Amino acid sequence: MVEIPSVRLCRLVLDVQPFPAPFDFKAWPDQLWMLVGAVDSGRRELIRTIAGLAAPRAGHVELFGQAAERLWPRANARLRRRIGVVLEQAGLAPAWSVFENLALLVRYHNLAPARDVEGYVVEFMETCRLPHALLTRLAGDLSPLESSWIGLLRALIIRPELLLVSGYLPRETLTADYGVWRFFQDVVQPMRMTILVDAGPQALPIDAESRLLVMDQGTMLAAGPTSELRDHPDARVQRYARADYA
Amino acid sequence: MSSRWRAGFWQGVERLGRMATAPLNQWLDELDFLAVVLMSALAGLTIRGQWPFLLRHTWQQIYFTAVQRAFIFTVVGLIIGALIALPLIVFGIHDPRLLGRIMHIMVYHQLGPILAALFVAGLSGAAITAELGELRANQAIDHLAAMGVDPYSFFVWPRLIGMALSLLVLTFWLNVGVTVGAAVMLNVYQNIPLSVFFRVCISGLSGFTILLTGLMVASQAVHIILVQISHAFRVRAYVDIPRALPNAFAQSFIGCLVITLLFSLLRYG
Repeated sequence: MVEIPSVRLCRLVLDVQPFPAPFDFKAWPDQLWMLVGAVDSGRRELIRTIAGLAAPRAGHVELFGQAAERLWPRANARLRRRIGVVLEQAGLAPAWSVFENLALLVRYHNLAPARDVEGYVVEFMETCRLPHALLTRLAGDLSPLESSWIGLLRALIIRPELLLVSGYLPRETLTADYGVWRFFQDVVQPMRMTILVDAGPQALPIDAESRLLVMDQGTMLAAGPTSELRDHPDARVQRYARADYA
Repeated sequence: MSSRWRAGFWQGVERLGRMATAPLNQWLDELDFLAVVLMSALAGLTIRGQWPFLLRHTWQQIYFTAVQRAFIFTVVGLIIGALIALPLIVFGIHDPRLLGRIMHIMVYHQLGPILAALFVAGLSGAAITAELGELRANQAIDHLAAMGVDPYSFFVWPRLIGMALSLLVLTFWLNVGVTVGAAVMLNVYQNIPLSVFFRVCISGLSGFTILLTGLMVASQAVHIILVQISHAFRVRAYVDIPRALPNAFAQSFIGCLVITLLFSLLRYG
């Protein structure tokens, strides 16, 4: 069986200033990519472009082998239900309860029969080791930390095949001894999805196993496993690969 | 010096031109938004599982707009009815048929729908702008759009249907209140029996006038929703919400006045 990349960027030119160089990139299923780069290097714009929230100046984005912008709305919606997105803000509806926020996509995409939606959400909270008590609270009453966790959960509850994370992940824990890295190891990675995280260099530990996509001035500087990028000719890439941000 | 004057003159002409074309541009923007909403709705509603959302959110909109406001509309209707009756009493108009005609032309065809639209734009319309503006500012709409939820068919369509139905019901209810308020005042001061006044008010209603008024009210509702939601969708940050609210209200109310004027011209012109 031929494997199709989850994300394929073809001669992509991001809509940032100044006019950046085009670049190609592929992310395969079950890979975790960390976007690194200076401020205004185009990381945020890249996530927004892949998520379909910003149009590129040139080139195109293929998701699971399909060019999203060329699809009819119905096919586009089917494609987008395979993607989980976490942007800079949690993006919860403040007047709705946490349960309603989490259940919305489950209901909208028919992931569970109407009578089983509550069970589906509760089971997911258990999987993520988050307290049930959160479900009845209004999203507007949550602390920023709780909101960012629920935002992450809402993206994961649809069991996406591609997870795009922009902005800072919650670095603290909601339950004792359960940090975001362990959450990624225990919960997210077993879902076997492609993950692109632009979450600040300190959000997830960069080690020899991780893959980096180094951005600079709106274009891709380098991409690959950290172990390979440590000997990259560009000093900036080396710096990120060696996790040397001092 | 003269070149500066000339440049200033042409800048003034340009500004005047822009001011003159601004309402037309707003109208075109609104039509553009309506086209996007309709296309989105047609595409979105064919997706399995969308109908329960449409029904649920439409009912919520009707509940917040019509059911929760029914009491206010009753009180307002009764007071306006009394206020309308007072000048008629002062002028000493006793003829029930003339009074019925005045009620039709003034209240049922014009004042009632305008007042209902004013209230709905100020109460529910502003609430919609604030709610969707907040969802826009905190990126909730972006999140949902990126995960396959069409913001137009999900947020706009139920509000459009709910608002149209609610405004029809509220306009009817307001007119009932106005009729009762006026009837009581005329009964107290001019001894016109309630049953006679109600009969003349009802007898003037025809299928055509009801249809025309219904169309007018539905157009007002569509206009209010499109204006309020398009302002909400233009919000980029929280600071934009306080600016969007009065602008959306003013634009939607002026539009409702223009719609009433156009329908009145069609009716009487």
